Amino acid sequence: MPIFDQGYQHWNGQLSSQLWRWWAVTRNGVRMQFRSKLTRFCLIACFGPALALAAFMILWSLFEQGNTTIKTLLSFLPDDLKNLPANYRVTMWTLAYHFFFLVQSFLLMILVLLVGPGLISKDLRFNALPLYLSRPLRRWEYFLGKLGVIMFFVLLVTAAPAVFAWVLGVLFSLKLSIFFEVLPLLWGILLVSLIIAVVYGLWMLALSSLSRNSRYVAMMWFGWWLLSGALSVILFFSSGFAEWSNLASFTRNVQRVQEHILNTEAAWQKVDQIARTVQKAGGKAIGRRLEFDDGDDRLLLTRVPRSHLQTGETNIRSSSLRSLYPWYWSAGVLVFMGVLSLCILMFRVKSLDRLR
Amino acid sequence: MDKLFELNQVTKTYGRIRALSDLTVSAPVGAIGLLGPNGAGKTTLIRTLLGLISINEGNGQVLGLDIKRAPLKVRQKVGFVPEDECLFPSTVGIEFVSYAGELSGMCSSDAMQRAHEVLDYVGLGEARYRATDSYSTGMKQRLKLGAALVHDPQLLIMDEPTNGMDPPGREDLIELCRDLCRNKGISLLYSSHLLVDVEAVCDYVIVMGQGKILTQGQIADLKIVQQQAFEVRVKNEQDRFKERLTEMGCQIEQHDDSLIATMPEGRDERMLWELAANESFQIRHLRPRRSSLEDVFLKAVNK
Repeated sequence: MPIFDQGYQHWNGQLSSQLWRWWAVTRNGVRMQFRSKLTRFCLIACFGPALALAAFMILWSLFEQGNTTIKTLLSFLPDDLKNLPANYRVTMWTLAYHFFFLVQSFLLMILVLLVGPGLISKDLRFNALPLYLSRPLRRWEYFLGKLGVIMFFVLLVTAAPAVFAWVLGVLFSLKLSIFFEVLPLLWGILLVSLIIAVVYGLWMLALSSLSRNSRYVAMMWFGWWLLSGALSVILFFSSGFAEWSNLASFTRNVQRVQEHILNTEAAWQKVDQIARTVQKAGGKAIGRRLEFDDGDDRLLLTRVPRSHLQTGETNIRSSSLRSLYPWYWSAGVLVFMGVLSLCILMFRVKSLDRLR
Repeated sequence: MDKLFELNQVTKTYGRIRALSDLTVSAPVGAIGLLGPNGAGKTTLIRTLLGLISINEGNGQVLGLDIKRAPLKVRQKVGFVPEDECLFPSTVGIEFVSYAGELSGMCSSDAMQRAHEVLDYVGLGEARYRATDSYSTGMKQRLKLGAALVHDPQLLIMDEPTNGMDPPGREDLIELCRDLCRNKGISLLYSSHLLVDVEAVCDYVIVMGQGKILTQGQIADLKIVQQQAFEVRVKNEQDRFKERLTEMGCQIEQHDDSLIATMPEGRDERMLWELAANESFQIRHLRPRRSSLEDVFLKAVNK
């Protein structure tokens, strides 16, 4: 026995509250994930759209303040927009966040693909559950801790940069009076981020509990993403299914709910008003551009239904075909997926109250 | 507190299987051995004590805490070393133990400091920064012991802790267990098939079978002195001595270098002295035989 051996010492330190016991699982999971180079690289990539969003917020604020350089750069915009940009602040911010979440929803699929598969599958493979459950930790606290890992990463690349950009937007506008004007947007951003984090997190955990091999879990996640998207496209082109085809797509359901929360519809309508004004002045909608008789053409900041473009209809609608079905259908699909995920988790990650 | 745990008429069924059947048991503070053949209900008893399973009937207390109402408090005061190989994935030794401490509610700095201490104590100080999946079986057992000790439990429950270990590793682990219960004041519930291990560590034993308690008590009390059987060793002529005793009606068993001689009805050890005196045998060792723990176990199981 070495002479410096202190032997066993008793410990009488302070214990944390039971309420925060799950946080140890989350903290450990996050620490483990940061060791992966691939995850770190993906995180950096996910901050790309965030930078673009922040840049837009700053530019728009400068545009509102009448910065000549920015005005020159944005000279192609309709006069209404150029003359009274403050009237379109919420509209532009909303659309900026809409596109931000649109891009992030794609990148998040990859980020979650890197972070999530091993969370439960490795515990099953290494038989770690008895180690967790023989501690003062309930099963739902274990789930919450694991969910916390995915939520941390999702919120890190959605809510955190979105809120940061929002703050930048408010600060660069140099008018604190706009705070209350754009405050609902902030709540919307937080709610959307939270919904994305919970839905992505629960579904990934459910898949992770289905196999002891995290590679299979990653393949399931990727395959399901591709298949649900493909099914949505097939249904869209099948007659009679087009209106609700997007219900088959996971990402589109999230986007539909997001559109409702951010009130994207209203933003598009306002953009349409500008487009109509331009049309009245002689412009013609061609795809996503407005073409004028004098050969000048300008970017059309709206989405035109495919059918309208084909028929050459000049009445531009604010919403595309994809948004015609009620948002709560998509919300229902997401709730169903959440409940299904919980059922899978409860079934796959059992307590020790069973015969082995 | 004089009782380590106490269960009253506990019944636990898994479908048609009665894992615990109207079980009533209490154990004193100290090192308790839990013995029983496979399927006796040992693991179910351990899980019941930890509050990990819901029992059908009955109630119980561990360290004075109700297992039904306060399972989390029970687990806070108890350390558990599971039988199976189980690891937190992708961790090194020190992270494994400190994570176990954090799950028990210790703050991360305390858990890390304590993890270093217990890893030194269990003899894994040199391997603390090695990946746990590269540990040998013995090291994994020590690691689990370290993780169970990190929050300084009052009761340590060990389920087959020496499974798969080589003899020196087993000896070391037994030594640690003995030290914990005799010098550090931690009570033990030691479940094992290896009676030698239980005897080496524990003072009290509970023998289970078919979900019931077959026998329990202080090991010293259970190993009763047998009036008719003696352990005897003579110099040089052991074979001839054995032969003579057999002729005189004794039942003889060879036990290492000694003989176990069971006297015929109505005779006692004086018969051995007389034989030695008459035929010039030199008796070097003679003592009444005590039943071994194995005898106690077999007797209880076969009863």
